[in-house]
Amino acid sequence: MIQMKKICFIQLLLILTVSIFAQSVKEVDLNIEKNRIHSRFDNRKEKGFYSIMQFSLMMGNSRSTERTAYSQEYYTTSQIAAPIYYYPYANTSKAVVPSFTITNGYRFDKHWAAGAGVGYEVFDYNLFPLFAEIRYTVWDNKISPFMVVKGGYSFGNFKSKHYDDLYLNWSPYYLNNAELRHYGGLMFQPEIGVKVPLSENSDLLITAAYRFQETKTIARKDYDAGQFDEWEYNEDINRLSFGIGIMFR
Amino acid sequence: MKQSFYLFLVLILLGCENNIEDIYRYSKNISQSKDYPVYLDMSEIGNIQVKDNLPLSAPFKILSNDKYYFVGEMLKGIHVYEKKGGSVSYLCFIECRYIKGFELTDNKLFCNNLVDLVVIDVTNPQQITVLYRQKNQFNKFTSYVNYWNIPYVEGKGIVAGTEVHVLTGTITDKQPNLDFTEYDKLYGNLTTKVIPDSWFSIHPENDKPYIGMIKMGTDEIYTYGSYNSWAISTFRSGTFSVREVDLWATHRTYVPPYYYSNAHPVKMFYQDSLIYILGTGYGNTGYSDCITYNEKYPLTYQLYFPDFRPLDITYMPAMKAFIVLSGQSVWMALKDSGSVYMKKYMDYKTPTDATSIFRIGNKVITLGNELNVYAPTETTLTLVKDYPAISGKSYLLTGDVLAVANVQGLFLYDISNLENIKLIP
Repeated sequence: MIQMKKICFIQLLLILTVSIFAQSVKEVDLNIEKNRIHSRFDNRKEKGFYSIMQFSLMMGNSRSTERTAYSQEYYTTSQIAAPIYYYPYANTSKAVVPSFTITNGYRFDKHWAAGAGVGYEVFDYNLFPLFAEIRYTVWDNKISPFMVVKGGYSFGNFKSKHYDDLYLNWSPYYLNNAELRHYGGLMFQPEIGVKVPLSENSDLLITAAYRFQETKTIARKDYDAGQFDEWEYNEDINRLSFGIGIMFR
Repeated sequence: MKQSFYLFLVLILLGCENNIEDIYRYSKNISQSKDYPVYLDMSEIGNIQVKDNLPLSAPFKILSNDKYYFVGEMLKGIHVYEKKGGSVSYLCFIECRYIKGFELTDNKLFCNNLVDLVVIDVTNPQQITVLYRQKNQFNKFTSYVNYWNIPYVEGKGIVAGTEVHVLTGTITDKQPNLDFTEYDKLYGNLTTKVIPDSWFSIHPENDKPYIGMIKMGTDEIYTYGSYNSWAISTFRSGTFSVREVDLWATHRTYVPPYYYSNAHPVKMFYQDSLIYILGTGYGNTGYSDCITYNEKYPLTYQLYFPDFRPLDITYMPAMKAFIVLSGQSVWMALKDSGSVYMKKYMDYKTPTDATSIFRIGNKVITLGNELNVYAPTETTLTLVKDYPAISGKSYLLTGDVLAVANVQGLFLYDISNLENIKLIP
C-alpha cells in the first residue's frame, strides 16, 4: 500500500515538474559565450516574497520485517489443516521516500531570505512537515550555489487508529485488536543546491540535502479496569535527499 | 572518477542508518506471591531439663563414668542410671530434644540439641547445669556439602517452613513488582515451635542434622567440621572452645573425615584405636571409612557396599579383616596389605537381624533380638553360642561388663566367659 502510494506520488510530481518547465521555456534567455552556458537576468527585484515548490527523493536504510510462514509438519489422517506459524524477523533494506514541500518566504536582499513551509512525505506512513527556513544565495541573477537550513516538526496522525490485525516492523510484530498512532517528531534539513534562473520571476533549484527526522509510533492494547500494554517505537531517521524545485518570485 | 563517485554515494547511503529505540509500557492487575520463612522458636526445644522417668524406647548409645550410666534415647534425651555396687538403678531422665549424639568427658556431657552443641554439667544428674550452648554447630557444612545443612538464617535461626502470602495490585513498567512492605512487616518474623514431621523418618539417624561425636584423649570432642575437617571442641576451666582441623593441619593424629558429595555420614564411633564412619549413598549403597592413627600421612581404609547400608562394623586384627553387619547378614572385608581398599568382600551368608557387632578376643559378638557369639575365619563364621534372652539396641563394653540397653531398661552382663554370659543382678 505504501509502495503504491509512493509510486503514484512520484509519478504525479514528475508530471508537474515537467509541466512547470514547459511553461517557463519561453522565458529562458541563454547566452553562449566561449562554449559556456549561463543564465543572466539583470533587472530582477532584489527584495520581495518568494514561493518554492520542491520535490525530493530521500534515500537511506529502512527497517522491514520478513514473516516466514512455517507449517508444522506432522502426519495426520484428519482433514484439518496444519496450523501455520510466522517467525518474524526485522532487517534493513534500501528505501526511497518521496517528499513534496511548498515554501513561502521573503527575500531581504539578493543573498538572504527566510520563509516557512509545509509538505507531504511518505515514509512507512505519512508525515506532514511544518518548518522554517533560512536561505543564502551567492548570486541572484545568474546560475548560483545556495544554502538552506530547514528546521521544524513533522506531524503524523492526530488520533489513534484501530486495527483488528496489526502487523508491525518491530516487537511485538503482531497485535490483534489494537490501536496505532504515528506521532512524527522534530526535523532538521541542511541543504545545498544550484539555482538556475529561468526567467525574471522564476528559478530552477537543484538540491542535495541531509535529512534528520525523529519519529515516534505507539501501539497500544487496552483491557478492562485500566490495564494496558503499550509499545513505543522511536526511530531517528537519517536520509540523503536529492530534489528539484522551482522558485517563484 | 565515476566509480569513485558511485562508491562515495554507496558509502553515504550505508551511513544513513537509523537509530532505534523500543520502549514497552504496561499496567496490569496481577497477584504476586511471596514466600515468608517460618523460623524455629528454640525456646521449648532448647529447654534442657531433668524429668523423673521416661520409658526407654530407642536407645542408641551408652556411656558411663564412675557413678552413672548414660543411655541416649533417640531424639528425646538421656536416661541416667546410677551404679550401685555391681548393679544399676534408674535415676532420672535428662530431656534434650532431637538428640542424636553425645559424649562424656568426666562429668560433662556434650550433646546435640537439634543443631546446637550443648555442654551439660552432670556431676549431679538430677540437678544439671547447661554450661554452654554453641549455636548451629552441627549445621555449618560448606563447599560441596552445603545441602547437608538445614536452612538457617544467621540471627534468626532455623527455617522450619514457609508461608505463602498473595498480594493483588497493579504493576507498571515503572514499578514492575507489587509493594510487599506491609506484608514484610506482618510476616517477616514468623516463628513456630513445631518441627515438621517430614524432618525425621523412622530412621532418624539417616536424617539431618548429620551428627557424629566421639571423645578423643581425655576431653576433646571430635565432630564433623565444615568441610573434610574435624571440629574439635573442649570445655576447659569454664571456657568452651572449638577449632577446625583439616588435612593440611600441622598437628593432627587422625585424618579428617572425607565428605562424599553423593553420600552422607550416619554413624561415627571410636573402637580399637580406629574411627569408624558409616554412611549411606544413593539407593541402597553404603560405605564405611575406617580412619587410622597416623601422624605422618593420611591413612583411611575405605569400604564400599553397593547393595546395603552397613549397620555396624568391627575389626579383627588377627584376620586383618573388617566384619560388617548388613541388616540381613554378616560380611567380611579383607584388607589389602598394600592399599587402603579391600582385597576381598565376602558374605558369610549368616542370616541375622542384629544391629550391633563388636569383638572380644578372637570372637565376634552380634547383638540384636538376641546375642550371638561367633568364631570367624576368612571363609566361615561359626556360631559358638547364642543367648536368646539377651537383646538390645545398644551396648557398652567396659572390661568384662557388657551393658545392654533395650526397651526394658539397662542390663549388665558378665562376659568374662563368652560361653557362659551371666546377667549381673
